[in-house]
Amino acid sequence: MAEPVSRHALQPPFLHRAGLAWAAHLPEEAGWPSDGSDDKRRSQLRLWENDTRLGPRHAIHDAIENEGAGRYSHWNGGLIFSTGDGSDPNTNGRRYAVSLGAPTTRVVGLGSCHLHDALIELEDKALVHWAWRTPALAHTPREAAQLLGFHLGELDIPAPLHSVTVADTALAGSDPADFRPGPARIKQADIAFLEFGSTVDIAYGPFWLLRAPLRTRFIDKFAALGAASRQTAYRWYNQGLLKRNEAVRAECAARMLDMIPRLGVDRALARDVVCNARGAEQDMASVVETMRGIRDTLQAKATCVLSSQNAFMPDGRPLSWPGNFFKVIETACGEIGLPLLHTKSLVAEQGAAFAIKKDLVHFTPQMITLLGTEILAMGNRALRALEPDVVASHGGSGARTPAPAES
Amino acid sequence: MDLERRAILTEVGGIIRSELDDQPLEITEHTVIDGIDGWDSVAHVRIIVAIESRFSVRFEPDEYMDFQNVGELVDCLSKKLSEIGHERTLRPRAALRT
Repeated sequence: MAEPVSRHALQPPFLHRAGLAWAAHLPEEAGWPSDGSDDKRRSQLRLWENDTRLGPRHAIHDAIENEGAGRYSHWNGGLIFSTGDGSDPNTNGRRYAVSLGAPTTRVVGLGSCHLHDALIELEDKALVHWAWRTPALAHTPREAAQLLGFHLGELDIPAPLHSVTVADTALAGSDPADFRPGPARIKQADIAFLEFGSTVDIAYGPFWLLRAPLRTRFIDKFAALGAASRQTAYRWYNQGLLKRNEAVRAECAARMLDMIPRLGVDRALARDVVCNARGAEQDMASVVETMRGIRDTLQAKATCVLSSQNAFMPDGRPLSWPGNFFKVIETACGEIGLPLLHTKSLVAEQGAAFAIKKDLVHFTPQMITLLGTEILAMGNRALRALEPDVVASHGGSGARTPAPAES
Repeated sequence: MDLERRAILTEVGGIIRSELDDQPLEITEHTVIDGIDGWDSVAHVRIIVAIESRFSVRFEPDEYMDFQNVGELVDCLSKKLSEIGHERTLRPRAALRT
């Protein structure tokens, strides 16, 4: 990707803020959109130290002050930055400049923290423009479809349910209009990435409960009451809902109702969720229909799918629920004609020590970097496949191609 | 149930009880995994790893993700042990008991 030709020199003196953080006046012509409390990743500003691009950008200010190492923030029109080696930019003899390097590939993504983290990193490297970030994580096709429908304004969900159906806790209570960025940001991206880790949903009336807020807003609070409460809540969730053991669900729900007054949560919602949530496994035909619907709604030039898993064995073997999940997702992608990347395959190639954190669930930073490279390569292959001339010359090879190098 | 299969079930039951920290837990071939308290994905990992370590076998993902009850786990384990010579695998623990 070509870097912008025009750099704007920053003129010293630079004002020392605290620790490793310095402030700079931006040139008048650099009136580019900056980060702010309404959008903490809006800025496309690049900061250069001689010919080296500094970063990460969008850094929180405490990290700039305490960790430095090139972190910077283009915040409310100003620039707070740190030098690459912690030296004083007024006396270290280096030149500082800013540029605007807008990436050309526009992407959207619906999936887990792994996909989100990979897209954040790609955006930080200015390799993609992440056009629409969902505020919540999705683990199943139906969760993703629900998020998409809601944010496009095509699905009405009562406001009291937003916290468990479409948004994480940080957004709970905000104006619903803030959640709906409009089709211009959501639709017709260059690449849409969809990541799924299960085909079992948690049904709640006509809606699907998102796993992460259900855990943080309810189950963790039950767990905090004590060992017995914790065991009951986890049985309700793991066996009663995800594994659809109705006897266990009913037994645990009855016990949980007595605990709700001690939780410090919305009691009416908690009671309703405990009584009415049910596990619901999606069959193959329904998975295909939902994924096709998401693809058609997003209208991206290319749509790519990633599979994820609940956890890993210590040696890197995947663990997913239901057990046939990988087969279902493979068949669905084959039927719709979508490229599929099994993240478990990357883990197998790289080894557990490289790829998986000690919690056996999350990816390491280096694995996130690799995942970003791989999904961008997959997306670029899918885009190239749309160009008749390129298809002929590349022969539709399934081999991995290197991602565009960071410029 | 033949004697060897019973021995395997006894070993597996002991591992499950130990990993779930539930010594009174009754384990039979018909015990449904979904019905065992505390058997979530993390416990599943611990139990499978402990069984693999104890019997020196390795389950494939398609195997360990599909066990519905303890009997299926024992079936799969028995098959693997028969391929490598299960008497040799069971002997060390039995010897320790005597």
